[in-house]
Amino acid sequence: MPTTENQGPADQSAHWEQLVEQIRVGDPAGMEALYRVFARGVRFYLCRQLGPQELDDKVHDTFLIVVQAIRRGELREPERLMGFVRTVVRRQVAAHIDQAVQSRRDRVDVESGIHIVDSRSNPEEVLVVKQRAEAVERALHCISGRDREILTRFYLLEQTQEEICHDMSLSETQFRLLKSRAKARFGELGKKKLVRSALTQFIVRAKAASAD
Amino acid sequence: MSKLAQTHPSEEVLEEYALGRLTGPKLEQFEEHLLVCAQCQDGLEETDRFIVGIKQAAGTAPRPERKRFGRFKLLSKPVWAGALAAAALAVVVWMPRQPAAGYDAEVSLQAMRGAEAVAPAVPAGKPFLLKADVKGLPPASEFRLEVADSGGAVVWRATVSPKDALISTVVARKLGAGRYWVRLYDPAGALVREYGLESR
Repeated sequence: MPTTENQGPADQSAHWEQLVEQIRVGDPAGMEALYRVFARGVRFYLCRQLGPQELDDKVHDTFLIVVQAIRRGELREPERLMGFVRTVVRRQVAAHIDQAVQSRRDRVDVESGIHIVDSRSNPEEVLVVKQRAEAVERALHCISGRDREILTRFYLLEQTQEEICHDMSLSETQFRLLKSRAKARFGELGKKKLVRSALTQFIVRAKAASAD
Repeated sequence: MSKLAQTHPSEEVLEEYALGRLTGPKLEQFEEHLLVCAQCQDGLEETDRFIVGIKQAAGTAPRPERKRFGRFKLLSKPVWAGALAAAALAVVVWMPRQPAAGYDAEVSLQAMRGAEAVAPAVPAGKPFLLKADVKGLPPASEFRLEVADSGGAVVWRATVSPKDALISTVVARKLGAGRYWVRLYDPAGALVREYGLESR
């Protein structure tokens, strides 16, 4: 079955209809195609929303729900398969959150109050995270004050374009240009500093290993 | 099929989504496209990493002043209320403040026992300073904070480093009226605390 990305709207619509019909009649080729098209995206979405825990199970449950719904005739517009899968995935996320809240309520310990997962990073991971943050911070201080202000307003304070333009007296075009430049400059510097930081780590480890 | 669902969205749209600002039909179209497009998934992952990186860096930088300050009614005394979610476990203390750079209200999330299940509220459409007590949690160099709406969609996220067992960050995202969840994740990605929040 052809992939979806290079198809025009009429082709894609026919593609989804064919796929849905295959699933509806229980054709294994349909199930395979559904998984091939959506597995990565569903996994990505669920992981991004809920984290990596029990991801395989969640992905599997999602596909099960989609297939069962199609077989029950709940997908009335086969050409809307993408939207349908999206709805199912979002409901999975909401259901998982509800369940997590409920199970925490049920398991609450009067003394401790909170269920805490003990998952400390190992010291090396902590160091890597710290060094990365420091490298990125140094990169931020290497760009101009105006570039730094734009990035800080947009990403940290999460101001909108309109608000930033108003506060910094910029036109929309100026804002886009400056932000794009600031981001590119920051990205270059950040990468250089991260590479330097990774090299330093490597040298330190190599020295420690040879001392042993 | 929508045009956005067919074509790759721009970097701006990826950013809007990563910052939780994409809404309505654009959000639907983008997410549908994301489900089937590996290139955009990779692009979004890179955007997420960039935003986390810059938030970590910019978090320690001095904040620029805002020319406009939101106005809202200040209460004469702090409001104590119980929270949903970790319901009997979390309390939000809303301490009204004078408007300062970047936010108009302050909310502290604390774990307490036996609180009433009433959702604490923040002013809708206004940025607020969110503080969370991480005492009792395993020590970590950073935590991930998320605000999700009642449908489970993440509308805002940040990575914050604790100081003296307290994390503090400005939620500049203007929340619409409604119920939200504030979720706290440890560095391994495990959900360690969750609080209810109402925006009105």
